[in-house]
Order: sequence, then structure tokens, then C-alpha cells
Amino acid sequence: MQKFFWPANMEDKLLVLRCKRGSKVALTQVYQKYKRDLLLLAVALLKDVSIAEDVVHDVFVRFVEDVHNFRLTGSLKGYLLTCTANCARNRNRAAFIAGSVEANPKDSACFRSDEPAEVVICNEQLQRLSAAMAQLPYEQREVIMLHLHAAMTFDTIAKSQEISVNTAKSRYRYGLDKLRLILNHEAEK
Amino acid sequence: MIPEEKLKTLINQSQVLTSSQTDERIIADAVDRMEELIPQCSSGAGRNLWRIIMKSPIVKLAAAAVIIIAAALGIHYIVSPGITFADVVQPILDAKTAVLDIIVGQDENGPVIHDMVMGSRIRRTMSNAPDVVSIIDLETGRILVLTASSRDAVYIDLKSLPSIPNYLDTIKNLITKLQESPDFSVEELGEQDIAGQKLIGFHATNPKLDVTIWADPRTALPVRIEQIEGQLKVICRNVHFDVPMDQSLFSMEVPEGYKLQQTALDLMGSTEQDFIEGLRIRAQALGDGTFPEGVAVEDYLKEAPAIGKKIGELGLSEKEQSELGMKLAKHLLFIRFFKGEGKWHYQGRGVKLGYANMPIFWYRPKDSQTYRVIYGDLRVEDVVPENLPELALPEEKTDKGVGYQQWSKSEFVGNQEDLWRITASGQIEILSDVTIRKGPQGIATMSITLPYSSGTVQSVTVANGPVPFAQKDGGQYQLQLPLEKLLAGHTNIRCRWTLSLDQLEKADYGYQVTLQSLIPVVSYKLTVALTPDCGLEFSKDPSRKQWVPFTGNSLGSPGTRFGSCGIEVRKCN
Repeated sequence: MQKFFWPANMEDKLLVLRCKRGSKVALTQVYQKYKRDLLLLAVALLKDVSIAEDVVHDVFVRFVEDVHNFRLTGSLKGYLLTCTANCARNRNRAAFIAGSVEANPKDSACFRSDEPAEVVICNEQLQRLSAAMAQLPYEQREVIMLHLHAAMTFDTIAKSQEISVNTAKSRYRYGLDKLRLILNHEAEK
Repeated sequence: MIPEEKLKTLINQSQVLTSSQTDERIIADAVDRMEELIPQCSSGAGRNLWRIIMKSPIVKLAAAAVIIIAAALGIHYIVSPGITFADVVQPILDAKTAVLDIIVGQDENGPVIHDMVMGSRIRRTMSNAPDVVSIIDLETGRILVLTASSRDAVYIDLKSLPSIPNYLDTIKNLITKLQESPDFSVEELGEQDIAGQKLIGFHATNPKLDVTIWADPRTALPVRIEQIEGQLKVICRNVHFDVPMDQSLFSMEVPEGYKLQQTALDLMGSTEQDFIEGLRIRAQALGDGTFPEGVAVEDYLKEAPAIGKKIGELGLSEKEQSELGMKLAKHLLFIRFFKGEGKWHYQGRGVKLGYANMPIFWYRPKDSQTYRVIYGDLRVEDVVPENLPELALPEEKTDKGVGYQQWSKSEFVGNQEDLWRITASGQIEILSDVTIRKGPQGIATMSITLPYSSGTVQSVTVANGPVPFAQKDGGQYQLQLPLEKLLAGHTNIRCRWTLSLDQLEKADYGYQVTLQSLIPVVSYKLTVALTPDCGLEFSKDPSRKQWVPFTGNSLGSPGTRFGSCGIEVRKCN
């Protein structure tokens, strides 16, 4: 019987290698494999599905641009999530400078759904998460999502955001406490 | 206070799905950027390895050997004129020795053609005709067929064929042809563990051909070649190069004690009339009055020993046997080098010769708006597409989408459409087409459960390629899905399984059927069809050949159980 099992990292290494060789199929596979994680992070951070899609778009285009010099040492998922967080942060900063962000922090993400077969759906849990996240400062959202969703250590988060580990931890703690209050309050309602 | 774990759960349960338009936009932009930055991407390192593989003598040899399979069956590849027979066999002439197994069709457990190749000669045996050995001499254009049991030796002269100038289309190396095509493209399949061997795959296509080559990544020598041309699939496996062999195995001398016959093999083109004549022979002389199970080359290969035996029993003279063999070869040629548009369809299995109302074969000739339909009495009619026989099986969906959504859950979810055909033997032949919408990340095993534990899975395919499967418990199977194909967009899984009609619950109105999908689905559709000779008809409208008794969506989350429904059938009057 044919076997198709590899360690996850091995599969990613092969995908990256094939992307370096210019394989469109491999690029599509990377996208299909991680789009959900990336999009979820971007939606949770940015509250807007269409901007989140743009972020994921930018991440993949940038991945192609950098793939030649890219060496996969850890996980491809972690790398792409970090790129997504960085890109989302830049978008948020740009929007902040333009004065179009945080106008109403209680707004949840803009959700849309098309035909069932061609779904663009944020499920109820994501809508709930995003609504709660929207009430946190951006920096706290980012640390919470990277730690809980991307399973990144505080050390890694600190390095990627160029902050101290203690700052990362305190952002996480403050954010988490606030998130608990919001969700508890929501549950009491 | 909500604990951290619950927040984690909330995040894990969060789902976002993208539209196909979004996927296409992102992938297209990323691919465009890739092409800008790596213009040589299609001829990068992978292509280099492809080239190394293609230059390897074994590929040329194996590809040519695949072509030569058919020589003994009266088959040839058709390419543009002007290329000589010698061009085709040159790769084999160049090679020193090789050993390979050839399988025609999808069934890897079917008959195996075993070839030993030394220089210009091939020693060929078939697993289902162990006492027959063919020695093919490509240099002189002759085949020596030795039958050990009857001590018969037959020379088949191939060389006489090109004596008709510009008529016989000759053969050229298939892969060279493929590479020369302007539409040629090659896609890397990466490294995979196939039958315990780590191999690197390449999928090369042009609009007419489809070749997948699996090679040893260390030596770049191919060990497996899968070729699809029209409705024919040929697998070349266990390829070994430069295997020491005794030259006496390739002798064209008739061994002592063998009785020599001489014949010529006419490889000239075949017509519809040749095909029909073959159908008549197979039904009348070889099939006890009924048409054969199948008319594909692989069906013929499977039946070849039985056909040979039957011809022997007919008490024909040698000349008559030879003529009959020639007619069967021409019959086979029509299918092997099918020149019509799209696919041909055969539905004559078990149908009695002379049954005038039963269409048994139909195809659309090149540039024709109508189909040629051959009926059970072997008359032929031109039929417009909307009047084609209703029981045509749906063609397997091979269109590529953007793949399926990978999610954190461990199960696959999709849509399913079933076609249940009730046949004369009391069997129900079921085609379950499952289209995957969501599935776990990086997991290639999928469990399926048949609605009836006594059902038996016959085959599983994805994009016409076989999918390995193993039975776990009654009605439960585990599939090893080709993840690469699925992720590349071939998300339709076709499962063929059978069930005895007796297993259905009988009711006053006919039968009650359990509606259950193979995997959790969001929609399920059941179509029931009756073959003309099954002895049943739909009670409400006997003129109908098929009926859709159920179509529905699962409410809320995907599910497998959709209750049951009645099939209103009665015995034909």
C-alpha cells in the first residue's frame, strides 16, 4: 500500500524547496494548508475580513518574493503567522496614522457570507472572539493571538515585536484579564 | 472567570472560510509574482532532474516498450507520418538490457506483461498466459510466439507492414513527442513513499497525453511510469536497467520439437465495421450469445486466455483461426486507437446479441454533431446527444478546483452523489461520488462507512487514478488518499461498491433504502437506475430508466444519516 505520511516539518521543507524551484502547485499547497490560520489571525487582529484577506494576500506575495533566501529552521506555519502579524501591525499603524482605526473599538469584524458552496464565513465563535478582541488595545490582541493561536513562546513573540519578554508577558496578562471580563460580562447577559 | 484553556478553545473553534474567488486572487497574484521573479521556474532544478531522467536510456526504452506492448495485440501508436519504424524502436536498440512489468488499465492486480529487453529483442510473457512466450525482434520486425503446451511456434512478420508507404502511421518515442509538444508542461509531485520506496514524481502532460514518472531520487532512473491516453492507462513498473541476462533467452530460432507456423499481422487501421464484427464474434462465438464484460484493451487482456481457449474449442482450421484472430485484433484496434471525440461508452455487459432495443456502445465520431449508437442487434444509428441512452454513467469529475479547506478537526466533510444501478444478476452496482470540502491538515487517510455492512468496495479513484484502500470491519474501509492530488484541486473521490439486492428491506411498493453517506456530508443525492435486463421497472413510470428518490441537505452540522426512502419498483410485465 502506498504511504503518504511524513513528519509535518518534512512536508513543509519539501513544499518550500519546491516553491524555491518555482512550483506553482507547491505554492498553492502552502496557501491551502495555512490560509485558515493566517486569515483567522488577521481577522482577530484587524476586525475586517476584507483587510484581513489583503494581509494574507500580501503575506503570500511576500513569501514568494523572499522564498529564495528563506531557510526553514522552525515551522512554516509559525513563520507565516509572524509575517501575518507583522503585516497586520503595519496595516493597523497605517490606518491609525490615517485616522481610520479604533473609531469604535466595540465594532466586531465585518462578516460576510456568499453562497454556501463558495463560503466566506466567520463562524459564531470567531465573531464572538473578534468582538471581544476589538475591545483590547492592538498590542495585547497580537500577543494573545500569537501565544494562544500560533503557540509562540513569549521569547519568540518578544523578538518578533522587538520588545522585552516581560513586556510581552504583561501585555498578555493585561489583555487576557480584560478579555475574561468582556467574555464573562457577555455570558452574564 | 473564564480560564485560559477556554479562551484557547474559543480560538480553536473559530473558523474562517475563504471564497473561491479570494483563493484564486491570492494564488494568482502569488503565482504571477513567482513567474516575474523566477522566469526560469518551469525549467529550474526540478526540470533539470526531469531532463536527466528523460535522457536516461531506460525511459526511452520503457516508453517504447509500452508502445510495443500492443504489437502482439495488433496495436500501434499513431503519430504524424514520416517517422520510420526504426525511429520508434531505436531507443530499445540503444539499450543494453532491461526488465519491466507492464499493466494495461487501472487494476494493478490485473494481468501483468513482463518484458525482458536485450538490445533489439524483447522476451515477453503474460501472467495469465504462462505457457506463451513471445520473442520480439525489433531489428528484423518479427515476433516469434512459442506455446509450450502445444509446442507451437509462430512467426509474426511485422516488417511487411511498412511496405505500404505513407499508410501505416509509425511510432515515435512517446515522451520525446510529449516534450516536443508546445503545450507540454511538467509538474513536480515531490518525493513520496511508494510501495516502500522513496521516489520523486513528475507529472508531464500535453492536451492528448498524460505521463507520470516516478524516479529514484539518487540515480534519476525511472522505476515507474504511468501513462494515460484517452481512456487507456498503462503502468510500467518494477523497471530495472542493465540486468544480466542469458542471450539464449532471446533467440529467434524455433526450439527443437516445436511445430512452425508463419503468419502476418495486419496493423492497418480499423473501422467501425471492424469493431462491430469483433462484437459479433465475441458475443456469438466466444460469449455464448451475450456481449462481453468490457471492450477496453485491459478487458481483452484479462479475457485473452479464455478467448484463446474458446477459439481452440471451436474446431476451426488453422486458416480460420488465423482469420478469426485477425478480426479480433482489428476489433481491438478500433478501441486502442479510438479516433472519436471524447469518450466511448460501452454498456453491453451481459446483453444478449440480437436485443434490438438495447444500446450497447456509443461514441461521437470526429467533427460529428451526432453520436453513433450500436444496438444489441448490431445495427448502428445516428443519435442526437439529447436522445442518448439514459443509463450513461456520469463521468468522473476530474476538473481541478482550488482544493479543500484544511481545518483543525480530524474528519473529512463533503458532498455526495450516489448512483445505484440494479442489475440482472441481483447485484446493485453503486457509484458514490464524494467531493471533499474540508479535511484535516496533512492527513491522507480517510475512513468511509458503507450504509450496508455487507457492501463490498470494488475500487476507489481520484482523478481517474486508483486509490489504495483496506477493509477494516464490515462496511468500513480506510482509504489512502493522494494528498497531492486533493490539494491540487482534484477533490472528487469516486467509490465503486456493490451490494446484493437481497440486502435491501422489501416493501409492498418495492424496496426501502437506508440513506447514509460514506463520510459526513452537507448534501446527499441518490439516483436509482434499472438496467434493461434486470427484470424490474419503476412503478410510477415504467418508461423511465432512472429515478432520483432522494436529495437533501444536512441541517446544521454535516452528517452521515439521512433516514431512509422507498424505491417504487415492480417486476416487469
